[in-house]
Amino acid sequence: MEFFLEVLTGGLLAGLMYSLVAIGFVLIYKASGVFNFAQGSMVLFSALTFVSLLERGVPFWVSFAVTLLTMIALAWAIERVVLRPLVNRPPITLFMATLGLSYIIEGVAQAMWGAQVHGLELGISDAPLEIGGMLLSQFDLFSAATAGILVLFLSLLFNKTRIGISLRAVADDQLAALAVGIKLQRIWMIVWAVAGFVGLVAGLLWGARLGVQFSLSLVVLKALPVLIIGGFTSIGGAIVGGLIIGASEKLAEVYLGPIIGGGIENWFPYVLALLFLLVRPAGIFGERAIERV
Amino acid sequence: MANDTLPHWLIHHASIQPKRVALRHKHLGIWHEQSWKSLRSEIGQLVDILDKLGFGRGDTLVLLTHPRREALLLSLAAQWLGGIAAPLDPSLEDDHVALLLRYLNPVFVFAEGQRQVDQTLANSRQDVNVIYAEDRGLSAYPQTALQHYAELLRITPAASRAPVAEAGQSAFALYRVNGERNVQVEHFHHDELLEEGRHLVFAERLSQHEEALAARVFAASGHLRYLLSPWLTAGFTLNFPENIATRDADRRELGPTLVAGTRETYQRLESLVRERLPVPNSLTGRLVTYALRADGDVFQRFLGYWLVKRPLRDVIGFSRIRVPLLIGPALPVDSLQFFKTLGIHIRTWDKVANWRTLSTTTSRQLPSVHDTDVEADNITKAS
Amino acid sequence: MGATPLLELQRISLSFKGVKAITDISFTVEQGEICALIGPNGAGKSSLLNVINGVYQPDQGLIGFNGQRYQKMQSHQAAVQGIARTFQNIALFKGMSVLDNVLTGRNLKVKSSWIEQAFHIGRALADEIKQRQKAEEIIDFLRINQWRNSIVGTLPYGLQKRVELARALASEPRLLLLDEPMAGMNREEKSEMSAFILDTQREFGTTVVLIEHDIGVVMGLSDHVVVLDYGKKVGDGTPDEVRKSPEVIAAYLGTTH
Repeated sequence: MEFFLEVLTGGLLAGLMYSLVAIGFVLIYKASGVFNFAQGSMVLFSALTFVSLLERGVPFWVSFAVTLLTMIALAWAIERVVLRPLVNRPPITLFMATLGLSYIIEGVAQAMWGAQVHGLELGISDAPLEIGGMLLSQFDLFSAATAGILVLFLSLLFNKTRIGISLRAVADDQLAALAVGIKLQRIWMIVWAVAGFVGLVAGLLWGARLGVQFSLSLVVLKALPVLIIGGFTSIGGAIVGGLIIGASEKLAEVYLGPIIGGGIENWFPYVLALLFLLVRPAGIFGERAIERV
Repeated sequence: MANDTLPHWLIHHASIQPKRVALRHKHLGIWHEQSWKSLRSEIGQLVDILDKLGFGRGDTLVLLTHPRREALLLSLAAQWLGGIAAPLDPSLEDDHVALLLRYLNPVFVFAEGQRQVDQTLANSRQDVNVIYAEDRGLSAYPQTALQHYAELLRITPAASRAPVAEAGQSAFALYRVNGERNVQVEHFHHDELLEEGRHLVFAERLSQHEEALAARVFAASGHLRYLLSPWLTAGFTLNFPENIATRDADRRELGPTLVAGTRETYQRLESLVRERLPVPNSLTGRLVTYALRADGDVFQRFLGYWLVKRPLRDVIGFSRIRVPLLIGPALPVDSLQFFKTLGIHIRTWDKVANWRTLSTTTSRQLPSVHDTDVEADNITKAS
Repeated sequence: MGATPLLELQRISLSFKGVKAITDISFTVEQGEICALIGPNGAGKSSLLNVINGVYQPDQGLIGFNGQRYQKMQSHQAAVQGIARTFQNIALFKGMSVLDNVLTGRNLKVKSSWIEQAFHIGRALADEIKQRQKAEEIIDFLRINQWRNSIVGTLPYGLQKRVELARALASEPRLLLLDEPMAGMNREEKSEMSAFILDTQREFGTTVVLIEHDIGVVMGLSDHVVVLDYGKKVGDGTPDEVRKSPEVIAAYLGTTH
């Protein structure tokens, strides 16, 4: 029983790391109804910028601030150059644009910072910590706490402020949003900037775990099943989806692994997501069927 | 007891429980509370206002409105001055209202809004004094005798004088038009009304802790006897919904402990609950039937209560109901049984109506109206 | 005619990819009047509304609003200037409640910053109460109290039209643009909506420009009627004048009678 709890808790904590990436997608999907293919590149770009600054001797918090400003500038540029000319185009057009965008961002990152692997040390030990008889990774606890704070911040921003209600309005009907005086462009910029910020946090935590390298942009692949289970439109869904994926893949690895062979972790989430698609295509918290592209 | 009048009871509660909530009403989506003390002081102002308009002993204040707190307060103020409140049923047809207004030829009228003001002005004497509650659409009316309730309150300083009402006087007069187009009246004297209220308070053990919903007061005798009078006797809280259309939602928010409903009220609530029930032969339908069986064991009843009865009672705002009263015509047996399975035991309270015919108005051709007949029949049957 | 008109269109022309939608249209709308735009389908009525509130930018001409002149108007700018509108095919936030929809109409009236709102400090609380109060007043005005918390998408069509009007009114507009507010309604709903529009003009002094096909409604409701045909103005005057004008009868009224 104790062992089961330990595996479960470890899985839940790891799941929050997936949620972190998934939230970035949810934000942009909510605001513009498009699956942002470039989210992974944004995670990579922010982590790479941060680690390169750090390696050049820039202090931690300054690097963080500079990277954040870079992400905001990137959001501004994306809104200007990509989104604004594509107003009122079908979602598939926007999706293709984000696909192109992901190559540009990765290309720029490579040109600026090179292609080698960087180690990232956040100063948090990965040594296990014993809590209530369970051995838990300190790093996992730290990232879970970070995810918790981030979600709190986001829910305050999107539930309690005018930006939140404007965002929901824009997501619901752009024409109506314009008519009540909501500045579409401003909302898009804010959302992309916040998605950039979430990408930065995810990039740091994942970068510290896997090393900052180009395969980092592939963590988005883990976010996909999370999104399918939790729904594309709900931050809460992204959290729950992450927890479900994290817990189930670890439990499957430990308990099913010996029976049907190891490495389950890598494909189990997709099978789970596939089952979800059959039963509940909009996800647990999703508002409507997503447009398949 | 000479002081057994409605205003004296109001004063009583204002002195023994001044801070308790006497009235609660919803306005613009927000519940507002008024204590007994503040209620007394507002009525004191209204007494002054009516007095200045020349209202005195034996005068009648006609109230043409849906249930709202202003009407209740003005009724009490009229009675304070020894007068009679005559609320007309808001569901009356236009020509019946016109007929009643012409018959009564009132000098003092409380009219809810533009529609009621129009009805009053079209069917009343030149010097009628109209107080209205909602000013929408009334800005262009030239009549000086047209006054806004809130504005009157604003300009009238607080005042306090002793009530001149007497126990044996008439407090309310209900008027209606019967099938032969005759005007009929029923008078309610202070002491009788309070006596019947006390009867209910003792029989149902009502206390000052009840929360009652006043969705249809006070143009029907049952509501005067079994809601208004107990309110003043027991001193509980009377709640007014935002308007007639929101009453179901408001009841749900409030969860009253005392409801005085008519047959129509309960039948509407029954259909609201039935809408929520699954199809009888489906799986969930069978589960519900199983959980609702009255002769079930402890577990079954526990399940039935938490999974079915409670949620269904929440649907109609009966989660805290203690005293569901049925006023007027009886409810069909299967409806009574239906509410019983939900744990709601409806009590019927009724008394012989005592309508007195006042006039024959053959001169005015009114279409005969059937539901008045039906209601009259039922009252006789119920007695 | 002493006061300056609230809205003045001067020689407005608009074309889409070479196709003329509006040709050289000028007219004025006085403060506090109800002005109806009528004309057959494709006459350019909706396009003209879109020019007034900045969805389309005209190729030529000037828009005078409230004493200022604009060559083109941006949507946001129009909203800030006090122009609110409803749409022919209801543009509501269907997934949000009636109250939230009406609250979005208060969007430009919010004074507190997002930081204050997020942490519920400073001006945020007073602001929230004020916006809620105003929204509730409009909800009460249009008698939609009982649907306050209903999700808009679940309401019947006629009610959605009313909610859309409520959202427009919540912004306390000086000019209200209504694109076929009574389309698809039955007689009873139409007279209800007409009463609401008249009440709006009387109670708030709002100037109204509306598009409507039901000639009976238009003649009863408006102070001023502008008739369009193939993007050109063919009539302009009081309902009585317009009814008698031969061009109007030829272009529009004649075809429907």
